[in-house]
Amino acid sequence: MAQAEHVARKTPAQRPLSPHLQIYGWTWTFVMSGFHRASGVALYFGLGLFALWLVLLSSSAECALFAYWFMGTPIGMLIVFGFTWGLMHHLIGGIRHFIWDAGCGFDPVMRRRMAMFTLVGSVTATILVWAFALLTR
Amino acid sequence: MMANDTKPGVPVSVFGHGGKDLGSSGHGVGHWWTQRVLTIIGMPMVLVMVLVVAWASGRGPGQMLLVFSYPPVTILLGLSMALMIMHMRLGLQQVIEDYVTARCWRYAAFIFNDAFCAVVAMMTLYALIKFSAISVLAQFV
Repeated sequence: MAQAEHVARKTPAQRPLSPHLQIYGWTWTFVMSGFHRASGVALYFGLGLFALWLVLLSSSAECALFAYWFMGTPIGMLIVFGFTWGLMHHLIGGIRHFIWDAGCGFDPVMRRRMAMFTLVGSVTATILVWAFALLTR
Repeated sequence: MMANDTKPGVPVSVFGHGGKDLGSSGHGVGHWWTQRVLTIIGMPMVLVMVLVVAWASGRGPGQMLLVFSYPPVTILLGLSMALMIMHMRLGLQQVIEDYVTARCWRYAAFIFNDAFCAVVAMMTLYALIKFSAISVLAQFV
C-alpha cells in the first residue's frame, strides 16, 4: 500500500505515477490509430451532411440546384475531398485492423509498414477517386 | 458467471461466457462482433457507392437524380447507408465511453448519438422514397 502511505503522511507522491501520453515517442501506429478515430468521428458528421445533401437533391428543383451548386464551391469541394479522404483512410485502416484481428501483421516491421500504407494508400485512393470523377464527367 | 467470481491474478476469459457483463456498457463482445460484421459487409458496398457518386458528380443535378433513382443504385445506397449508420452509432458510442466520464454528460452524449443516427436514417429514408418515386414517374413523363 505504497499509495496510501503518501496520502496518510500528506506528502506529495513521486510523479509521474503512471506513464503519461507525453513521454511516448510518435510512432506510425500511434498516429494512424489517432487518425482512424478522428476520421471516424469526422465521417460521422460528414454522413449527416451527405444525408442532408440527399434530402436537398430530392426535395425540389431549387434545392437540388443549390445542393449541386454547393458541391462545386471551394468549401463544398473541400468538404467532399475531406470526406473522400476520411472514408478511404478509415476503410484502409479498417482492413489493417481486420488483419490484426486475424492475428497477423504484429511484427515491428509489418505493423509499421501497414500503418504507413494506411496514409499513403488513403491519399492515393482519394486522388484516384477524384481523377475518376473528373475524367469521366 | 460474473467477472468478480474469478480468482485474483487469473485473467478473465471473455470467451468462456460470451463476455457477458464485460465492457464499458456491459454488452461484452456483442458490439465488437457487430462492428466487424457491419464493416466486412459494408466495405465493398461503400466502395461501389463512392465510384457511382464520383461518376455522377460532374453531370448536373438532373442526371444525378436519375443515377440515384436507378433501382440498383437506390437499393445499394439504402443498404450502404443503413450499414454505415449502424457502424457509426456503435463507433461513436465507443468514443463516448472512452472520453466522456461524467455520468450526466455520458448519458446526454448517448442520447445525442442515438438521436443523430435516427435523424440521418430518416433523412436517408426520405431521399430514398423520393428517388424511388422519381424512377416510377420518369417512365410516365
